[in-house]
Amino acid sequence: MVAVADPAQDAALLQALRSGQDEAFERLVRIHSGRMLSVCRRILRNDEEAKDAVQEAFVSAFRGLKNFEGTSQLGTWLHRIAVNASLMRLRSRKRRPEESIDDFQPTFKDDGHARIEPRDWSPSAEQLVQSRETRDFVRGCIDQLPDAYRVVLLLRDIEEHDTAEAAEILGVTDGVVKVRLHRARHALRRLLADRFGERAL
Amino acid sequence: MTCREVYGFLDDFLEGTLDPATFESFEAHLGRCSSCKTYLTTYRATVAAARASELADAPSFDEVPHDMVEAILAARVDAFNQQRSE
Repeated sequence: MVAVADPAQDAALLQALRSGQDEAFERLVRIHSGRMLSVCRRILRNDEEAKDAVQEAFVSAFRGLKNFEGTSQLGTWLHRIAVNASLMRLRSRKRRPEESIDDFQPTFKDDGHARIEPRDWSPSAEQLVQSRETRDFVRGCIDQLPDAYRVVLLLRDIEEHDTAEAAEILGVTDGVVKVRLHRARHALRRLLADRFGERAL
Repeated sequence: MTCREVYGFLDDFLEGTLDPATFESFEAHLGRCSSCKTYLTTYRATVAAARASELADAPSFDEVPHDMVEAILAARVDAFNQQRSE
């Protein structure tokens, strides 16, 4: 999941960190903070808050260094701490009223047949997403999802955590992650379909 | 298998975690239901569009803001001192 990983490099860096070398900590920050910033931005959608979350993550990492077992890569460990720092901030935010995504779920007739007749807009989506305007639109659609769903979609589909990892990070069961991902993807599909030219029956 | 069931199995299908019997019924349904087939295509395209949109405009990992690095290093010194005095 995390790129740049060299176990030997990790081990050397870890040893230097544990012996309290300032320069090692700075190296750790320079190697990993970019990726951490990117996940914090994604979750928080706010640059300043994302920077603060990265800083908080490094302080927790520094405090937790003695407990780091070295079984996971340093990058993976830091990434997870950054995600947690962002989630803490997200939870402490004043909740904005969130729209339910029930209306964006597919519906079925009594015999189990889908009520929509989808049109295949995937080629145009692939082309349109080349433009920045479309990408902004897609991100806007992701932001319409309630946080609980949006975060699962980001962790699973963008950050590429598997179900068990996402569940552990969020402190929920695997089943909850699966259901939320499922509903988030259906809802997002529906939001995109409206733009890419599908009409619900 | 009904359309409703197919929709329910989409994620497991994409993940490759359907058991063989379910996989077979799933594929058989897609073979005769163009609506579900298209739904699957657009469902997949949704994930692809989300990935493309989130990843394309993200700043490069190399462009770490200088002020953030400075703040982290300063915060670390504070945390270190605090830890020592505890």
